[in-house]
Amino acid sequence: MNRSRTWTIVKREFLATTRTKGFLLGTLFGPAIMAGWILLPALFTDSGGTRDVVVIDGTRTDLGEAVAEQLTRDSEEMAFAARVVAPPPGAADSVRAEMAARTAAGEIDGYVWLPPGLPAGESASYEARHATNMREVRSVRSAVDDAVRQSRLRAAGIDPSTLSEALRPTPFEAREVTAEGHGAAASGEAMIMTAIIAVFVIYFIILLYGNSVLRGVREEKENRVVEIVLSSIRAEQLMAGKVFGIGGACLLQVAIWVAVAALVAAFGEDIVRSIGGQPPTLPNLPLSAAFIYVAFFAGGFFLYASIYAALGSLATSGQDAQNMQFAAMVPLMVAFFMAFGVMNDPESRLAVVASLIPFTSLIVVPLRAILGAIPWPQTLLAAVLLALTCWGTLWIAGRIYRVTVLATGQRPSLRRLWRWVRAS
Amino acid sequence: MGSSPAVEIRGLRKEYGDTVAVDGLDLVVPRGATYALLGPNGSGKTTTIRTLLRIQEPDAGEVRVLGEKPGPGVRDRIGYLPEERGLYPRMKVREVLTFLAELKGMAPRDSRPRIDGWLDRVDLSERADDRVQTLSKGMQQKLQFVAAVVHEPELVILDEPFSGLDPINQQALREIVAEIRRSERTILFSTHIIEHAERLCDHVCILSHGRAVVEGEVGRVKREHGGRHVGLTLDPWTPEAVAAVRAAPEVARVHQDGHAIELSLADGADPRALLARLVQGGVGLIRFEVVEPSLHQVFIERVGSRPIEEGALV
Repeated sequence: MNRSRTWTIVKREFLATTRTKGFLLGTLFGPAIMAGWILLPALFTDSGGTRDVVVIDGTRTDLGEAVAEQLTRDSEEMAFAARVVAPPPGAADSVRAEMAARTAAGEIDGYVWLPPGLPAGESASYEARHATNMREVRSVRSAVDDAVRQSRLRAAGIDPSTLSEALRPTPFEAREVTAEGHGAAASGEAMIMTAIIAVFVIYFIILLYGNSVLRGVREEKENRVVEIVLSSIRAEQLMAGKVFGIGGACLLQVAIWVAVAALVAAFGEDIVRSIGGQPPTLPNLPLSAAFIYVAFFAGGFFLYASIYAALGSLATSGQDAQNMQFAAMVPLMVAFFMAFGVMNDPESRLAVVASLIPFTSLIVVPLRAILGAIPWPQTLLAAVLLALTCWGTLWIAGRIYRVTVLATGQRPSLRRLWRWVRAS
Repeated sequence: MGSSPAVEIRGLRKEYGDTVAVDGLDLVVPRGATYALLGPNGSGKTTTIRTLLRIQEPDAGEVRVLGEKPGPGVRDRIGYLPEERGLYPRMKVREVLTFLAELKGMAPRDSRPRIDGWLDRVDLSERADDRVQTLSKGMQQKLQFVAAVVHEPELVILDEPFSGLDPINQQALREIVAEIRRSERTILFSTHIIEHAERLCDHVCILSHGRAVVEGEVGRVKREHGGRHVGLTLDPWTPEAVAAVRAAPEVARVHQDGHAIELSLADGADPRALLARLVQGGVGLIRFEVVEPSLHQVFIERVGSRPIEEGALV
């Protein structure tokens, strides 16, 4: 019977939260970010087509040819078609003026000017229709830079290919090892990226929905509807209904995000390839990590939401509520910043301690699980500690809620509050 | 079970910090009674009601409602209109009533026809799908009243039900209260307006500083606690005649309302001796009658002349 009354509250809170425009926008926001992450780089890669440029070589050396060769070499960044013009002595200015006119007329995309003093340090220039395109300018600069460097090496009697071979970067891959075997190349980096996103999602969602719980409690208290509700059910039931109702809405939103992420993981690469882009490396996330993520996320939500509810019942004004909000944010922020320390070394002592403190474990345990750096016994112990703390916090918060939600006027001192809670 | 009182309170005590809100209160509300809890603001009315609903726990004392201890078993049989009203502003009218009825154990399919009937009764049918925040304050109050009675409770608790209502809606509410009364359900009615208590209730408890100073059936309370009163009208009215009335040794207190005067007799004073004294003193009288005291006079006798609230003594 009582459970069904709590369910009535859960339903109301769930519907009141999910029927808002904010919820709809928030639900669309996650997939939009994911789509942006996958598609935008692919679209950028393809932007602009081949640049048709002229290299005006005023150096009377082979630098112009070298620059053109560097530019037309296969590049992931941008494609160029380049030809070299070597103006006779005294004609450089007129050739530059002609190329400027052709550029302005749209016949070519731009020209590179290599002045006679270039090998000695004089500045080269690129005048083009898209001179503000960062990737285009970067490609031209790099081509000129490489050509001049190679010319200087040859002048110094050093074979550029020997030096280039000596300085060739050593190939390095970080691969995640899971129970299912080795991940794809670069899956380690993708995993770290996933872990960072996961930490952000927990932090912001709890902050967002925790505040929603606090605001809901304060509004009920302010507009006095709480009294009529409390004539039908216990305060603890009302609080639990509120926390679980808003929590349900929150989980629904996250579930939608996770479903979209799963679709992206399944079809993202094909979609990106079909539009001619380079797909990002997607993480190979084990199912167990996803399960731990959801479980600790839910536990952490109920832990913080019950604290927010108790604080909301204590607040006597909007200003007061804001101060309260900050009080609940502090442990969450500690957990958030701790996560970055843990990311550097997920098996450090800090990581182990933060995994066992329930106020930080909600972020640290899923993070370590994603990074594959937490043993099962630790996960289980952290889960038990989180569950117990959750239960205890819900109980104490329920008591505080009961004794304070009808109180008006000055907020009680901590000592008096504790006396009330013990007496209730 | 049905023969037990609707409400029975023994030695109820409730403190808020250093303030004693209810101080050893005893009262019995018989089944089917319309019972007024009368007292100034801060006299403990709302705290007493919240204890009945177990919204607050008493510090000491025993409370039984409809034969049971306050709690989940009896909550559904009570309807409550709190003094400080409020509803979820963004919910729709029918939605909020369905929700509150569901909290009282009524499935939405059962509450729907009753809700529609009540909305029709209080002229809110056309607003059933509007949001609560779009209603006027008076409409919201009627809505909350419907929420208190839609599940047909055995005990209806109304805390200051008329405050904020215009005279037309006050009259409409009085008629509904009278109807509930005829259906032999119990109404516990908290007010600081004596006229409402006198007009609507058959039992009364006057609270002062958290204690019941008078409690019982209204007629008996008036007889036993109101003292003896005389109503008189002077003709001609002169300041000298009024002074003569005030100076008579048989008179304890004088309440003057225009030319009509009501006075309380001193202990042991004989109204006939007063009449003789006034006639012999040349005071012109066209009315001299021994009258039943009003609840107002009972209140003055028992609590003192401190007004219940500015403008509330009528």
